Amino acid sequence: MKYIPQTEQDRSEMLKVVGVSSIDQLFQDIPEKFRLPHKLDYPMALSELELRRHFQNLVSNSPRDLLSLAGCGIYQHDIPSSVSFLLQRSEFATSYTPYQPEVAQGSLQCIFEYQSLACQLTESELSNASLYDGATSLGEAALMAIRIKKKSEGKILVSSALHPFYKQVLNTYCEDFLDRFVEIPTLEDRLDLQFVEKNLSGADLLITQSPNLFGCVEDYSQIAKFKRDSSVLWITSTMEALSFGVLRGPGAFGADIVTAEGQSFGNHPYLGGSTFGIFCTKQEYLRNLPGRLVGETKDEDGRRAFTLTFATREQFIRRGRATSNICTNNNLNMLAGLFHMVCLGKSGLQEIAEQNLSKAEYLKSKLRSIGGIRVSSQPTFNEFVVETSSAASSLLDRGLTEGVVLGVDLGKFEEKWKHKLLVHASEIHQKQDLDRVVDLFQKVSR
Amino acid sequence: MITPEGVRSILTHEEELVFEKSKSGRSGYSLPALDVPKVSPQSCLPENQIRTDGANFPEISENEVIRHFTRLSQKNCAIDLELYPLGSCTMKYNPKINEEMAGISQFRSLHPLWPQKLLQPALAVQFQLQDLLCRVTGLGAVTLQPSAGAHGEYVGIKMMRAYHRAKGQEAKKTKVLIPESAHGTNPATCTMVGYEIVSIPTHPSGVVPLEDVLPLIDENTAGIMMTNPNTLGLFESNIPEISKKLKEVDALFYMDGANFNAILGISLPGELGVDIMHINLHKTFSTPHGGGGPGAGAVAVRKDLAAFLPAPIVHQVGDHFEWKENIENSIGRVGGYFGNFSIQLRALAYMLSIGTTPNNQSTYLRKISEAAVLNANYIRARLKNHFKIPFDRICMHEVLLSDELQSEYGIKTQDIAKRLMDYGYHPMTVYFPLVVAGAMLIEPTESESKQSIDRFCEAMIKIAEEAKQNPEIVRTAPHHSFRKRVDELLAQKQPRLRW
Repeated sequence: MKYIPQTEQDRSEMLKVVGVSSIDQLFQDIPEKFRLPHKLDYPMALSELELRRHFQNLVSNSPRDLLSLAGCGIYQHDIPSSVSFLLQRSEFATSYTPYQPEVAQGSLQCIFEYQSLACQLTESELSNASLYDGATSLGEAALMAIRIKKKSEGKILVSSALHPFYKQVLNTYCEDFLDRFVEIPTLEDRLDLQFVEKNLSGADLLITQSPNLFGCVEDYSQIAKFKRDSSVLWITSTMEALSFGVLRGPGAFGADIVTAEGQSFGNHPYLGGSTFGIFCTKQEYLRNLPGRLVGETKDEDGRRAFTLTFATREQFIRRGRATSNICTNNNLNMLAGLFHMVCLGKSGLQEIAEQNLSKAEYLKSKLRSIGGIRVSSQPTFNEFVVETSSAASSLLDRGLTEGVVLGVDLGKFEEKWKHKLLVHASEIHQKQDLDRVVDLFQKVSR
Repeated sequence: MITPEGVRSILTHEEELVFEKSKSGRSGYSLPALDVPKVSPQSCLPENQIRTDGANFPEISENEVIRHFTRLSQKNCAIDLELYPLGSCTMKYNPKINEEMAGISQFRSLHPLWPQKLLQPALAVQFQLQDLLCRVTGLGAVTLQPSAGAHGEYVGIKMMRAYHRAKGQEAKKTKVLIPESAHGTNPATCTMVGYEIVSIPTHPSGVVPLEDVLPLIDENTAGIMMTNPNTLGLFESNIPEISKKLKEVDALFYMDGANFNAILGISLPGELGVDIMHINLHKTFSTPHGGGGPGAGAVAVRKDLAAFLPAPIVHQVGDHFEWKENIENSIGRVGGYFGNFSIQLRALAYMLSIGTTPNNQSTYLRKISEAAVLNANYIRARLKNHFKIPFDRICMHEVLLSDELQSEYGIKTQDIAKRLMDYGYHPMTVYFPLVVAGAMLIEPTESESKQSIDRFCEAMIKIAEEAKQNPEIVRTAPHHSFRKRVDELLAQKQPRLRW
């Protein structure tokens, strides 16, 4: 077995040193009737060549060269080759949590740089080392805010334009507080701001997402004005972190906890996992923060060094009184995000965000000229809702026959959205792709 | 012979922060020219929300990006460089074929919200992985949604609560029993789910004796959470009886499977009486730990508990696969999409390569556990005359030492760990479990050869000698790492958490 270096001779020498006569003796603590026979109902071991055949066989019927306009929380972007190259460095991939700073300065400095960039991106004061993904970050944010509000029993206002999977995770995490939840209705796919204004006093938490499920950019400057006179803790969620290339970070509007899905930076879709969750907040909530945190310090010789810090919030020290149970997170996905952000730099971030905006606006303008198609007139970033008289699911089916995924059918979440197709365009879509999509819409809307 | 000089690092580049390297006008990225009309943010986005500063990201060229992060990588220990004996972390070798399989572009580009007929390869992977996990746990159903071990614990304990709710017993079932030696995530998880924790003290034998645990079980007990083998490296041989007693009060047995690598193909948790367990795919099934994840924390349960699993679960329907969304008493969704699929791919590749041996007499699963357990016992035998072994008996896949003998010379676990760096090793897990003062938990895994283990033992024995003869060199270690001892207190006193 190529993964086990022990030889027969090694084994007998080692058993002798241990002072037992057989391997089986090492398992004597397992009650005999619970020890399995050597055989197990399990498939034959595959060699490398067989494995390759097995996996290639699994994907053999996958469509190739599919043109996809699916977004809704997971986006396909252009990832620089440097990102994949750096991720293969064994020193990043095959190390573990940097509990021993003297031999983990690589990981630690990377996390420190990531924390800094996450703060800059979201215009926040403080970032942790990242969490699992955008949805669980929102769940953790709600639990953190409820902890900060202690015994208060105020309402928890939640946007009804929140991605349904995020809503489901939020419901799971906040199971004991669901009676305090109040849904904020939408008007034309954006939050009903009058409702927000009216209900803010007496509320503990306000949870919003922008761009929201329908791709619309919410009016955060207006919410910021309402919030000024209340004691509400405002939590924001963002599915497309690349939107911060053209949109102010929620921190700039006074959001207390800013969460986002980080996938667009450096991570392929992979069925939605693994990705990483951006989690930022204000300095004053430092001790309430879930997850790891890296700080700058010095070594004995006075040289700059980095280390995990404020660990007394965490489960391995605080146990039952920790701010979260999180231990292993999605560090390598965060590193992919860091590498990508650094490659982009200031001008790259701006350019890629503007290209996304331009492609989506181009597609919008072309679709608007087709009769029978309604295109959202709200401000959007790189995805928007298209409505026709036929169900979105049938549009999708028609598109698939020509090798195009026209978007995400929001009707799969809620019956009332069955005419809404969420369409996404990014830097990877060429003009000819978008024109092909327009032709398809022309055909199917006839 | 192993000496610090023999492993002295060449990695001495001082590396600035990326922000300090930035120079206006540089970039490490290129895009094609825009082929549609350029739209300015001002023309379509709310004016007071527009941003034009590019988030002030640092500006460096591609070659500088590569050099910066390659240099930083060289300041890390890693399994691909040397034995990495972190106890309870199972730092085994991560086969490269698994990376290749996970890198297949048709998997990489799968969008979670595509129509299911386009996702069949992914569903097939998940279905097969669920099946193999059932076979190695002896349990009837599996969810792959949790992103890590602690996330799996959260799912498992939530399910415990949902089970009692379905029986109308939620208000009464308020307590979960947890041994003192447990990972911190266990009590933290129970608090998150809303359970009161009853601590089971550690017995001198190292395993939980029936007479200690039985009196703690009463009608308010929702369940027990036990790591097996436990964090002292010992098999909890009373699990079947404990489980039986729990059944009498309709309480559930949760097994923390962090240490599953010791009993693969040797014992089935389902047969021991375990009702729910999580499996750290990244530990037992060998996916790279990534400096702290991504992991994957699959949860396996007794067949009749499947109704509480987080939705969706993959089912086979005729010749294709479907996600079953409506699960009767499901605890709900716990993660954005369908778990850490990129990790599930690697775990499946590994699980397929460690199956039944060609002669059909055994499994490589079993051989892996045997080798891991033999390696740990060999370390115990070689070090027992040099270090205190608090529970000196046959151990499973990890061995626990303490600094009791070295304390006589003023040398603590911390010092031994730092000195180990000078010999080229990442230290073992230190000061855990908390129930043993100055604990050092060593898990070699099956990936190490006898020569490799001998070298490690020689280094440990040398450090034990140095502690007697030249304690100063141990107390002031490390001397050869990129950084000398790092001041962790200063980081907290003068917090500097971003650039």
